Amino acid sequence: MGKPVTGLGIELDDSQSNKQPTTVISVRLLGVIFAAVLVVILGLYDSRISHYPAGVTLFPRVIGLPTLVLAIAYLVKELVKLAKSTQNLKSTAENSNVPKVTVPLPSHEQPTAKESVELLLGSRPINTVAQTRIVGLGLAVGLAVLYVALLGVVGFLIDSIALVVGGPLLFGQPIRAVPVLLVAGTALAVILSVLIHLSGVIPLSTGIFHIGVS
Amino acid sequence: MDWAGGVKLLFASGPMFSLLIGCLLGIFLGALPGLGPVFILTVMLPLTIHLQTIDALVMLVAGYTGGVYGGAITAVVFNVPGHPGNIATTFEGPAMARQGRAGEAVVAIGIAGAVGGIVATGFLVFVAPLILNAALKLQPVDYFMLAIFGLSMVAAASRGKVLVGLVLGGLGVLLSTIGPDVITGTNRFSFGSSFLKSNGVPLALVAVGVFAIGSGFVMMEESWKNRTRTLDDVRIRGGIKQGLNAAVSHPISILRSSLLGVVIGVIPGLGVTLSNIAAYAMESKIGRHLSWGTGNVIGVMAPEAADGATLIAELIPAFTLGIPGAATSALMLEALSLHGLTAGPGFFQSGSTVAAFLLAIPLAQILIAVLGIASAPVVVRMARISPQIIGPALIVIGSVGAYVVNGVIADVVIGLIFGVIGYAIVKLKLPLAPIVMGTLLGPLAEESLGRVRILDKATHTFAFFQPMAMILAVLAFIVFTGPYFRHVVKVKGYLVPGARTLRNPGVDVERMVDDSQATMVVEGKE
Repeated sequence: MGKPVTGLGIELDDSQSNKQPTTVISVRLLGVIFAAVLVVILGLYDSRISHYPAGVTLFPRVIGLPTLVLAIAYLVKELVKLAKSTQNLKSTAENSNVPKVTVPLPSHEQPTAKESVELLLGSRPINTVAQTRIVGLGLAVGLAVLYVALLGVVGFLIDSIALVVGGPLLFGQPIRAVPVLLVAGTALAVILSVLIHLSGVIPLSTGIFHIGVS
Repeated sequence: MDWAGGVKLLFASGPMFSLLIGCLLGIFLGALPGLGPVFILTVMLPLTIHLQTIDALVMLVAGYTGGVYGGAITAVVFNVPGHPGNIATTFEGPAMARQGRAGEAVVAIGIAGAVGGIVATGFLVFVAPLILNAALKLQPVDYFMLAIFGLSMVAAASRGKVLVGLVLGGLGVLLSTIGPDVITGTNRFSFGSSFLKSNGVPLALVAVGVFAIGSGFVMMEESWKNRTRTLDDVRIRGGIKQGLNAAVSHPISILRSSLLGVVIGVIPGLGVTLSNIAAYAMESKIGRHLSWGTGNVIGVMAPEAADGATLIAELIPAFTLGIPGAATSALMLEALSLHGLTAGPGFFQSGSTVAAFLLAIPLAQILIAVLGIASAPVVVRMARISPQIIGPALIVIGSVGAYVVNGVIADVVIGLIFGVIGYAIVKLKLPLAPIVMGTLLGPLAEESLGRVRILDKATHTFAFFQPMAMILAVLAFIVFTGPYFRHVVKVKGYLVPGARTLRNPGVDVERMVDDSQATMVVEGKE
């Protein structure tokens, strides 16, 4: 029988987690950034309270200030967690009996033009820092050229392309996946546009997002 | 209530077509991994704004309840629950599929889910008037405290993350204050934006961004990390007779689980993630002499009956008091609002529209069962669609949904901003519901507080000393502080070690539960 737990019932066993220390650190860092953003947003909000008549800011005051305090507490909590995780990582590394292995730095040698094209098409695996940079740059330029080339030409299609292609590329999807995504996303956008058009919400000629429509 | 008018209204071509579309969309979208009732409602809500009120409501309720069934099918066939509400279905379903009993499981689940939904609808019809009678006596201060209580429940249900649950709930409330003041109409916190000045931050945009677009970002990122996804080639054949027999042979289990689902549904902040596992736990405890984990059909019927009941029961506090207990009921309240209806006594006096809506719920449950059983082989194929395709598609659908809210590009920008927020929340395994619930409950709380002030000034009293308000305040305090005192009052339970190791090695239960922001009750035994 498992261990008894409390509250509304049983919680899952957190010891099941089997995460790499570096992953924990990056999650903690994201947590700190998120908490900081929350504090900034709430701070900005609260700083505006005095700009408005007291009659319309009672409720924002009642909720806003305590929420900011809680957000600061959350930020502090996340910072403490990050500090602990970093400390644990250091002590683990220092106490480790495993002999340290020196990993050679990735090559910064620039790939040739042919290699660059192959990298962009995904037919050559990315192994070095330079290759990664080339691929990132290539995809960014490609996206920008595509966007500018089609701007103002096809209305809502450009928006679909920007979303369906831009999104995957930004998240590191392989370029080979783009045609499939493009067709699927554009078809979906067209179907939705027609449905919305039929329901009388938007006239089709203006496009969905108004980007690229003169 | 005008039942005759409701029948006439419901059985017209428009609502019937909406019902059919809603059921099919729900079942098919629900089959896509990670997309549950909340997502389905989020996507459908903006698209139904311009439909007739009854058409929109019928389509929405059919869609989100159908989503649970779609997810249950993939839980049985692929061991991949469509969303956290289907987790317990994977404890027995895949074993049934391996024994060639997938068809039986799908049929039994359909019937159990329909019974659960119908039982909960009965409660909605018969219990709601009682609550409404009590609601008529509530003062503005009680409504204010109810809103605070609702928020406290949602924050408390954020498993081990009450602090951030409160922060996100507070942020949601503050978002609702952007734009015109609910009582005086004075503009606030618009930061010079004409869009914010006139529209504020609509709940629909927050929901679309956080749930749909945020999910799209997460899915794209994770599909890149896990490129290979293999699903067994399982075929669903026959099983109708066996499934019917299973349901007829275990009516008490189905009813018991449905009632449990109703109870969990009316308590704010719990929801289907809890109800399906609690139902499985209850049935496995009652039937401890039976074999569990080896394809026991009760183990798939009980969770789905509870799910079906919970999803409808969540509407009881939402439609009577205006206090949603979950994101789904919050979105349904928003749907009412978009169609000019308000929750509370006024809603149940809306005549034939409400009657038609209440009649449509059990009808939808039956239709979902029939369509689900018939379309199960197609649903199975849907589940094979790569997340690499689904992710970008979600962003497109979410963006279109955001645009439809007001028909301006600023909607899409706001939707994308909330998409990024939703992405961060999911990546950090924080609760998503509080921000949406806060956005919904904010106006109710602010309006109530404004009225309290006006009454207090007129009567020179302090309304917060009224008994009901005090009770709700104490309850909210207990809920807020409860998680910090759990070690004082220990409730005996049994831990399923990681749940995945005992029942189901293939499902990352911990991850799904974290995603669902709900506290779980799991009972199992080694």
